[in-house]
Amino acid sequence: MSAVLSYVEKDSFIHRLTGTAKLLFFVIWSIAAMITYDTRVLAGMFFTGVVFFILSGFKWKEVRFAVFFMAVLMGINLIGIFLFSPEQGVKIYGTRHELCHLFWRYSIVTEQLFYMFNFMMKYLVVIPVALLFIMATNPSEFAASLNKIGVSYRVGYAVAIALRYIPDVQRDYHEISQAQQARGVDLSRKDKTLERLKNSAAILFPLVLSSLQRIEFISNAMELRGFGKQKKRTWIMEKPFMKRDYAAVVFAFVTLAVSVLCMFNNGGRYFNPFL
Amino acid sequence: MLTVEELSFGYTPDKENLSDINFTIYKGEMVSIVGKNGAGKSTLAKLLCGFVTQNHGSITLKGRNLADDTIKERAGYIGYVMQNPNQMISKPMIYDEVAMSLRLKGMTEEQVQEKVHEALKICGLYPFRNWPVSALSYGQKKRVTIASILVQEPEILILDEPTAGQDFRHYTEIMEFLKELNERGITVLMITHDMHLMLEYTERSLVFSEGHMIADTTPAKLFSDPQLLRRASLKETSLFELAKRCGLDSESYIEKFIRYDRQVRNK
Repeated sequence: MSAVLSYVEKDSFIHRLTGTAKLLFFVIWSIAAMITYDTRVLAGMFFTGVVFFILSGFKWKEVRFAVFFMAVLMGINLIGIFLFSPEQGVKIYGTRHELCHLFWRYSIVTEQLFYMFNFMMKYLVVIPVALLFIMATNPSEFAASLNKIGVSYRVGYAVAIALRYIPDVQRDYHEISQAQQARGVDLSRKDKTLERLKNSAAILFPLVLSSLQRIEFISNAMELRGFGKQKKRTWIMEKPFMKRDYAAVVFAFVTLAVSVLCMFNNGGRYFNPFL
Repeated sequence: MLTVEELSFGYTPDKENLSDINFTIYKGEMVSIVGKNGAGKSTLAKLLCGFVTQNHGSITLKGRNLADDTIKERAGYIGYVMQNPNQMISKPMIYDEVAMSLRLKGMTEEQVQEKVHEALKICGLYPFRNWPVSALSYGQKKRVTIASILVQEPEILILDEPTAGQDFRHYTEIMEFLKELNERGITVLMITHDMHLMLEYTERSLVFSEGHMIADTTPAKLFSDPQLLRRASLKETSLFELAKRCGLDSESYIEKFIRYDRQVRNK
């Protein structure tokens, strides 16, 4: 099983960027995507994100699982929106073009579809950049960059360790699940989904135990090495800021500016094609 | 009993972790699998249990090909005790942990109790049957995992580093226990780094290096072949070194040492 959502060593222009630049880019990009519902901006950002992703040299195979997982979450979110406020789009865009009535208070309305499409786009804009950030940033370098933008190095290190152990925990999960199957817990596709979900919960117990044990090991090892003794520390993985890093950050800010400008232009967060 | 033919496997398509492995295990044997880290020992165990599927080759048990059996089905005849007991234990109580696989098979509670008590007795855990797992030492947890595999009555037991992290007393305890199981007719395969364990308890060794099986021999012969030892990156035991320096015949010296050591220990 290949590791999902962890650092993958490669040589691409995205890998060469410093962790700080990537972190800033990711944060600004996410803010830009969060504030706008403008389809044009979102579409532009989505394509840029995909282009970045292709340039990074990652293969679809490497992220397939993560993307499917997020797609499922997104699907649940969208269904939730439809169930709880099927007329949200009408409220936002001020017009109502009903396509067909379903039942009770539910009908398919163009405005609602458009609103949900925009909502989905927001996800799609952030997903490739988030994947890139996680998969192309060396955890140790990430700690260095957090520290550089002013976060305490203890916090930075904690985050970096968490990222560093994602693949380990995944491997543990996999091994535990196999051990459980060997004991007669069925997790194979032959069983019913509900049964499988219930059985998956049985894995959590040993997984939590072994993770807790790992925490103890690591904190002991760090203490032995004198972690946290001084106010400051140096970082072996720290890279100096280069032109390309400035370029990346500037690019993110430009995107944010476009997103904000469109907001003023549209007189709100929404772009309304119905008027 | 268990035959492996031309077995090859790789976690990624471009690299084979095991290639062209052939061997046969006979009923009632106690075999050690040795080699340095990354030589493919644990991978072999995972292949035997069906945790991963081979790219090429076959595994047959008593003439039956295991290719189509699921992990669950294979567990009925091949038991695998992982190195880390914490990865296997999923219930807070010892009794429930050992009973788990039986309950999942849908046995009645009386049948379950009988079998669990028997397994706990074999493993020397009967007095602890109502204890929580968390109250046990690492070595005892290891025995809990062995008990929970034993209740499934496998014909072959594979143990990954059965004595790792144990002091000498527990080492002896576990190994004597495994020897007893072996004498009851269970075939035992042990993955180990411990050269002394290999010498003392097994009559046959499969030596792995870089994904190849480079020898299938007796431990004593393995030690008398320095070139093979070097290829497998194994270290001679200090007993062997001592015998060599004193100009003694190492094979018979080690044998005598082990015999004497046992006599003294059993007093």
